Amino acid sequence: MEAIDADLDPFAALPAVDHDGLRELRERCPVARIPVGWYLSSHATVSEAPRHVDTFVASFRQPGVVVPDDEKFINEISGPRHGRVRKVINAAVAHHRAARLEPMIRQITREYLQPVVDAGHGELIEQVIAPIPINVIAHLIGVPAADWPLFRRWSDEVVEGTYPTMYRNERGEGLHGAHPEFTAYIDRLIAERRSADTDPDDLLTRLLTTEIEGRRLNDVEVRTQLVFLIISGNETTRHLIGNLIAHVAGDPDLYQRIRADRSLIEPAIEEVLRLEPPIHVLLRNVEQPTDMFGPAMQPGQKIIYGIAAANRDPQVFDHPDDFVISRDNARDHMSFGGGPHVCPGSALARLEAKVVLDTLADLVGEIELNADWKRRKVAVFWANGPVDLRVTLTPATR
Amino acid sequence: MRITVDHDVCELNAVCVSLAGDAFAIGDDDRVQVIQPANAADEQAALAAAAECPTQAITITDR
Repeated sequence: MEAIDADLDPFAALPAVDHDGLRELRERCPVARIPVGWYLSSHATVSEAPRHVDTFVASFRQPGVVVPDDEKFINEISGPRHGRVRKVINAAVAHHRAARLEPMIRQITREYLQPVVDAGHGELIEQVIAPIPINVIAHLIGVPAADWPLFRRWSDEVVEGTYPTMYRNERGEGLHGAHPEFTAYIDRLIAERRSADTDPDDLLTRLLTTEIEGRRLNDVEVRTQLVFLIISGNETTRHLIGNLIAHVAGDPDLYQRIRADRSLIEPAIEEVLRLEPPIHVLLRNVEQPTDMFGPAMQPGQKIIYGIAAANRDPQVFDHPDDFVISRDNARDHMSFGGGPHVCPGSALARLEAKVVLDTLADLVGEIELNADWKRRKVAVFWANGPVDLRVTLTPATR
Repeated sequence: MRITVDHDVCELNAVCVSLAGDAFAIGDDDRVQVIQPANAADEQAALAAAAECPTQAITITDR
């Protein structure tokens, strides 16, 4: 076996993304041999690799973990079948449908934010930011609003345990074993929809009625993709919004500029996505031998796309560690991945982040991070967002 | 510049709408619509969208 370039464990849950260490790695060895396989840290390699979906197959699972086809998340399915399932999901969350959700997102953001503004202080992740993405995705799927809090708790429980990497946790194997309450609820939702007289125009109806390769998805497949959407629409968008609000709260001058000129919101979102990507590593399995990046990569090895590292590559971004609100290539970051498995929810995520910051700017004149607050990353190894966000708020004067 | 989208290949990833919102839109029928670029900047954006389309469903030819 060839020498290890970096003793780096991509599954380790660190308290922060090690940007300094990644810079050193990118300069020294942009295609690095690590104990489980390979780590890509340059923009050129991280943007190229996702195009090769037959060579590198998506998997958050530990080496050797086998998942039945019906329980493979959409990001783990390859070939034409992936495209057909994706089109159903994409149609539901793409631009034209995301935009229609804006009034609903605005309304729930105000409902969650106003009490914190009235109190003058609060913990924004728990009180405002976390509820929004899960409510939006539950609404898209067709879950009754009364059940949204349950969805959020269950989604967190599935993500925080070993299920995503091991296909099992301490409760049992498969999603049904790992979280029986979650699967029972979704199974009941599917059964009710199948027996209902009407088909509401939501994602659940689309998943149930679309034929793929001559047949409809079975209940387990529908459940699997719903759960994946709930997980991916929940955790990731929460971190985007958390990172965004933490950044502007830490830069009062920027916050006042944004309040005065809302056209700065979208570029601010792109810079925060670039500097602190909600998913800082993507994991793939090497499926076919390849030397496209130089060294020989073999099946059985993992390959890690270093999103956070690529996003600060000075070959692509000048002053890569600085927040620069007017970059020409602001959207060249890799935070939504690329290639056929590119994030289908990017439009929705950007919209949610925009609405939250815009609403904050409407309601809050000044926002200040509490003096004793320090950014701590959530424990989920691939995720990068603050655990909490304690702030003091001054209402906007009208 | 002439832009066409192969709707059988398109999976509605909407990367084109994200990169070139003045050249592409998605209609209520869940199909990508092409808006012929009006200026050089829109043409550049459309070329980038064609290059980045995850399923390579966009074809651009000189008229």
